[in-house]
Amino acid sequence: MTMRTELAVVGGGPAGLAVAIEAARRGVQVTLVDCGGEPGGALALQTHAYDGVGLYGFAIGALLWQAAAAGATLLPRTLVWGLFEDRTLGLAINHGTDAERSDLLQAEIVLIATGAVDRFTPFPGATLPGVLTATAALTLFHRWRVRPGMHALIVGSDPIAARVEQAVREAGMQPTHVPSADGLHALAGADRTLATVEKRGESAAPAWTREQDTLILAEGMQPANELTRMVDCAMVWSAALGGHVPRHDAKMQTSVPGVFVAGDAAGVGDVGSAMLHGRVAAAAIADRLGKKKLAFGAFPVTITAGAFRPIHAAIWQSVRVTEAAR
Amino acid sequence: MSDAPFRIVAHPHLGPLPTAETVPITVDGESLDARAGEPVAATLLAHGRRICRTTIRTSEARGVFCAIGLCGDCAMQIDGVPGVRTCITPVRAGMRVETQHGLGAWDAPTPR
Repeated sequence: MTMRTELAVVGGGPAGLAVAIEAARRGVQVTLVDCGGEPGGALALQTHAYDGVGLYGFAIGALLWQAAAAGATLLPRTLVWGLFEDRTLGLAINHGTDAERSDLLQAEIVLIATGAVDRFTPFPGATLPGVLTATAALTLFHRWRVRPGMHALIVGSDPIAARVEQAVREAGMQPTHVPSADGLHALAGADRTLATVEKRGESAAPAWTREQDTLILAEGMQPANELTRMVDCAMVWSAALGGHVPRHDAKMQTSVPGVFVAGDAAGVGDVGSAMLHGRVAAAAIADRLGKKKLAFGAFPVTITAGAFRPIHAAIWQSVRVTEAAR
Repeated sequence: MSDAPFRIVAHPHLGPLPTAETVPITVDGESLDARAGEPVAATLLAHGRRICRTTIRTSEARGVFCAIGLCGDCAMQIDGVPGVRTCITPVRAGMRVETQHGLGAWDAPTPR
């Protein structure tokens, strides 16, 4: 049986939840799907306070989820495995549980707010148990409440590395930080899991060797763009936005009519810009669906949004470069 | 059974570990106490088990890498079904979890 909705939102992080809240306020029938079991997307993993609000990320995530639940249908633990012509989404509801079932959701408009995934440079030993992405480390510490070892080497110069280092300390582990994966070799111990990390120079001789049972790759994030690519949205490369991003206009619509993007999926930024993306997109979507026009009003959380303009400047610049090259 | 030192029982922002019902599972024949609602991989790491499977050609060990269901490195055999991603599969009382070698092996099919 195919379910129907006016607006389908994929992703329950700050962008997707902002869309759901703002669109529902404007009278749009919204169905939001999220593959996680807990609200807030990556926000639910952040234990630092954000500028402009004295709230920790996980608290913002919970607050937004609650606000969205008041006006939208929320489907947590629901994996979107495909997006097809006529804006039909393939869903695995209750994903990973005994109650898992398949369904389709057909929408007049689809908004993709799938966030970002970790990016990393492979090196010898990067597949050993004990090597984790930054997102994995935060998931273990804050959602699962486990530490994978006692000594963590954090690799990367992205701003996320500093947050990971703080999270490692708060999890009761000893952090060491190196800016780059160049020359790294991870070595297994007798138990076949990570035990030692070496930095080797051009002579292949170790510049240093450290006992480390955990290695966390914090080299930055890239947009999760599977769904936008699946419906052939025009993509552009932007280093400033973290990789291949769907080309979108100022109202966040992609090159495919009826398919919008918001948040990190539209270019890696911060939580404030993700929520603004979402609200701008929701207003445009409500207009498109012929809903009554409303001014932007009060919103459950307001975060300083300094990153909004730079993001747009970067994508427009990238679009110009791409089009000039044709 | 103590699962220190891998459980984070106190956290400066998240507070003390909430109480949770204990769910018994077996991993390679050993009984482990899981916390209700957590994924299988969390129980494994909480007990210091870092290897989920070995690779098909070179038998290298693999464990949790992405923790969000994308990479597949944490796949194990659960109740006789191979290739189950333990990072997104919640524990269930009596669950039988086994280290997967290569593609793993299926139990004989049972009608359901």
